[in-house]
Amino acid sequence: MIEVAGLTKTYGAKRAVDDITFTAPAGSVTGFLGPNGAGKSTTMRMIMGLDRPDAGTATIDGKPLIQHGAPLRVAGALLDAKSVTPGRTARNHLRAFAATHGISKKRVDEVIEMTGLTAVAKKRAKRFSLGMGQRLGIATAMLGDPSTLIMDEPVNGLDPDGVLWVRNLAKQFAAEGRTVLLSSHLMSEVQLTADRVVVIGRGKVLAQGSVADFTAQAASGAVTVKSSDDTALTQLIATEGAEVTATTDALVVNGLEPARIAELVVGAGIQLHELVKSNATLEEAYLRLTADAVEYHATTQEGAAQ
Amino acid sequence: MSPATKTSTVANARLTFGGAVRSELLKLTTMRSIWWITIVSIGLALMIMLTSSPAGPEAGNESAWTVTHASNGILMPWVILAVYSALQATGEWSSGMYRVSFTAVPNRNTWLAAKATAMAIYTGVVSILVLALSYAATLWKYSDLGATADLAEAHTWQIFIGVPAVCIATSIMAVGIGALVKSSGIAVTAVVGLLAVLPFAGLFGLDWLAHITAYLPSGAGDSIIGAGSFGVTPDDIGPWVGSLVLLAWSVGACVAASVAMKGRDA
Repeated sequence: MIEVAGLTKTYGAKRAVDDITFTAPAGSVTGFLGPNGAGKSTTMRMIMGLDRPDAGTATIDGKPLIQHGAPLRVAGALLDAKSVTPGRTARNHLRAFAATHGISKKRVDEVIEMTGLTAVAKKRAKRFSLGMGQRLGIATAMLGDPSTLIMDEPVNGLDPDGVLWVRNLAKQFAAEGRTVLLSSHLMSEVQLTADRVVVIGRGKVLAQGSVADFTAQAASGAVTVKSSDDTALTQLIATEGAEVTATTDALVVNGLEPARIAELVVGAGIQLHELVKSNATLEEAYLRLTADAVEYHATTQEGAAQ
Repeated sequence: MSPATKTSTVANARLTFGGAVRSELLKLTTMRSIWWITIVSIGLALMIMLTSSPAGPEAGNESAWTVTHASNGILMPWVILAVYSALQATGEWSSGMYRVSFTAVPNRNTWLAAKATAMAIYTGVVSILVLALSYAATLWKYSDLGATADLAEAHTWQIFIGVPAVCIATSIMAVGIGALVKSSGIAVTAVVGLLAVLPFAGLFGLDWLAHITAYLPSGAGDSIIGAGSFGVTPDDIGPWVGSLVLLAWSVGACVAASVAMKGRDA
């Protein structure tokens, strides 16, 4: 379990992390979301004891990482795939870190196999593709069979097979009662992987809770309906007191449940062609929440995409 | 593919200082550069030994002369080993590996001590090897000049213990400098400047600098071994003061690194 309380980090005049408090509980995958520059990586580095907070605490399983007698058994982190000396082979990189805790060669071979690096274990890291580098980073994080896994953009550079593998790894980890905290920009992936989300923007926590609750809040509740006689249907719906907007080929209804709309259609003897309730996606919920918190806006130029 | 937990293979894993040292030694020995550094160090020393044309020893001074001459080739290996030690420290940042190192070994002092210990071991082995081979080469090549080995003689032991000790202390200092500055460029400049440039600045008319040379690692090293192998020293402060001075350099650099690391981000 990761517990962050009142964590603050200031670089000069800028508050990169501003009084952040959240928990990533054991047995779940917590997605850490936020725009670029929001403070996700800084927070993760402080949890791992790399950067010193100006205020607040970050603990893993009740203590700061430095106080644990076997840090690799407590937490493994993939913060940046470029954390390997290029001239060293993958296997030797793992052996070197296994040695700190007296972890056996057997375990080194296990994590190599687990991450699909068996074929390239004897290759020097400089020859690794980005995906292989990510896998090596994950293998290193898994060396001590840790109770907490922290990953910063773990699916960067992974092929679809790899993305699926990370998703299953995270879910399996959580199913075993461990803690997973992963940051990502790939909303669709986080929606499939995470049970909880913590959203930060401009260094502050904007929301935290279960993925289901978070996305439900953003649901607009609109229902799209297409029938054989939209004009008549519009009248019926208006009589019910709901709002109807006609788009090019369908009606968008606000304020009426799909079940009631279906009743109206059938009752009027009209044929129903399409009835869709719009479910908010995590992406919609996230974009809505962070709209004001984005630091580095990209702009599209008029006529640029011709 | 599921990450099945084989807890039996890691259940008893614990971070230990010995483990941290073994880790640093593995980091050293799993890179090709270590072979190059070792071969070049030995090669340079032997080259100096075998291409020099000394005027032989005075009568009665044969064994002291022999062992002193054998130590003359240590200057370049000494600098190389120190630079290599500094780079082993700064390399953690240039490669980004520090992120993993400080996860496995979060206590910065433990990490620093382990790395310094590993470099001390490596430097000790190489410097003794260089010295032993140089000694053998001197005995072989200059036997007709009167070169003799006398292991009972005090000066022989002063060189055989002193030279590796100076090299080890300097390497430990270099690790401290590397951890303090984090940058390869700055660390190498500082180490080379301290060991090889400053001591010779006195030759270029900077008299006051010439006198503090005795308190630089080179001067202290020369005083420890009772010979001019580590640099150009106008003053001899004696082996005991020399040892204290060199100890101050290596401990001081490591303490500075420790203090700096405590307060700052990784």
